[in-house]
Amino acid sequence: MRLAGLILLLLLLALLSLSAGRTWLAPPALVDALMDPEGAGRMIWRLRMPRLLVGLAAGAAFGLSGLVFQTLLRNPLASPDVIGVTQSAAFGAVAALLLGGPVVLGAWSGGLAAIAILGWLAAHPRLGVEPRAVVLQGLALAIFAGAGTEALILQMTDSSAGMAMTWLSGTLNGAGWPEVVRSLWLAPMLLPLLLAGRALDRLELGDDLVRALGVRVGLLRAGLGLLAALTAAGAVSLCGPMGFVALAAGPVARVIARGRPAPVAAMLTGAAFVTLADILARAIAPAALLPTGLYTALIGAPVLILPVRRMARS
Amino acid sequence: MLFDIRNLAIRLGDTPVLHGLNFSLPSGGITGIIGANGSGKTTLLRALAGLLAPETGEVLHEGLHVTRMAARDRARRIAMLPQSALAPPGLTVRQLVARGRTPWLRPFLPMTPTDRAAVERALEAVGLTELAGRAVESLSGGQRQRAWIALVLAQESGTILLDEPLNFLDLPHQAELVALLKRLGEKRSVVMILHDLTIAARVCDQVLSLNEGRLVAFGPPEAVLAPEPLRRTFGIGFDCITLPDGRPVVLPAGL
Repeated sequence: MRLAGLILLLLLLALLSLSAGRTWLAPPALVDALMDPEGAGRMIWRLRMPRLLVGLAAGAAFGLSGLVFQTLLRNPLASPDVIGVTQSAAFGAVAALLLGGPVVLGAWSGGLAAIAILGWLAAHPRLGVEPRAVVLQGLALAIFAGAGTEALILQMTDSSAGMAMTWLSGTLNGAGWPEVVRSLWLAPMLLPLLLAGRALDRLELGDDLVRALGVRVGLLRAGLGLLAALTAAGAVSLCGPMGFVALAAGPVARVIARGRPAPVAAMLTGAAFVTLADILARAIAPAALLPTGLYTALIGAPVLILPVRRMARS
Repeated sequence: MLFDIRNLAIRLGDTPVLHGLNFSLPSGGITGIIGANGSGKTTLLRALAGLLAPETGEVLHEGLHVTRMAARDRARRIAMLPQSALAPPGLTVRQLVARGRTPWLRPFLPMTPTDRAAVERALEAVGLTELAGRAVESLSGGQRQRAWIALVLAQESGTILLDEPLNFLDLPHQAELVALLKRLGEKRSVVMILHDLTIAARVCDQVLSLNEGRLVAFGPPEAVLAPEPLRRTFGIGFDCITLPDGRPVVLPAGL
């Protein structure tokens, strides 16, 4: 029931996103435009539709990755953008840009490197990977990767440095059909995570009990962590390290799913979140075209505070 | 034999915790594990559950190595309730108990009628059928502990390991849970860590005592819960009285 509401909200936001921009379209005009891709709908189909689709894909990926990391590390703050996975992916992407390589591979390498470093740093000889250590060392990694990215940008010419800075706040400007095709690469990572609801649910029972229930915790945690890192890095390669989406989507999705870690709800929440931010980006200052990431942070902060307060009360 | 423990030594990190244990537990009934804090009780229980790899020696459950069994098969034979199990948020009692069916579920498929029936039987056995729809957070301490026991019951394993199941319960709730555990011991084999020695004397068919990772005594309660073995287990003197039914009551001497 609540999930149906979320899907309805996402559909409405998607329609609103298609009509929003420098020229707003009333519903009849939107329908006409959607029916006529070659004539009246050229602008919608060439610019707004791919932008919407890339935003949905990136938002879904960020949201899902956030929920998975928060559940694995038993910490509502431990999203990929807090523990340095997103920042490392951004570093990899900027490095790829500077070296002229494919951005996706750069982002994935960065994300994988982050997971490897965190796993190695936080592995405890006796207890396995200690969640609190991952979160704290991840904070340090985020700062370190951020500094590295700035150092790379200083090597760039002024104009490309400006573009890189916009990209680093997370932007859907310039997202076109090639990016939509690239976002399909997220599917092989999103699908297993979507099916991981039961696994995430069991992990919340605590390691000893889950293992006694026959779940292979170490394997599960490593596999899910790897997939979630690749998912977040893939999203970074599409629209830059958009802040707050992964962090806020998890807790909000939990409120929607009555406290349970529900992957589908997290994915829909992340997608709705980015779509809403992008509508604001084009509605509030259509001429300036400020990065969408600015607005995810703007609405993300209050949206995050609400469920956290609710969790604290119960 | 339920468990055959041969020359079992376990190290946690650099610290040796268990030093060459040897004993065999018969099937059925209730076995109590007693010992001071840090004597290796929980480590032993985790080793019995197959959650710890021995440094040397072996743990056999009905003749099979617990660490070599496939995880699901092991979970269908041996259930374990850790001491500080945390209830995830947002679950009803029935949903929590249903988590015990994990080793029986087919991947990605919902519970079958068999699973549901097992959950209802477990709820019935601990007397929580009426409260099954309530949120776990809203239960009292005693009810919550019964819900955890029901989770382990729903697992339908022949062997149940419990780490201090009576902790943090007041006397009436302890008595209630003891009665439940006794009924449990009639059908399945139960091994549990206990702090209260007098309760151990009343519930257990046999008691095993540990001191600094070594086996001190193993046998019927009246043999293990006697002044001399208790002094070697805890390092202090004990006064023991025997009740008319033959079970001992134990108090530290000089209290």
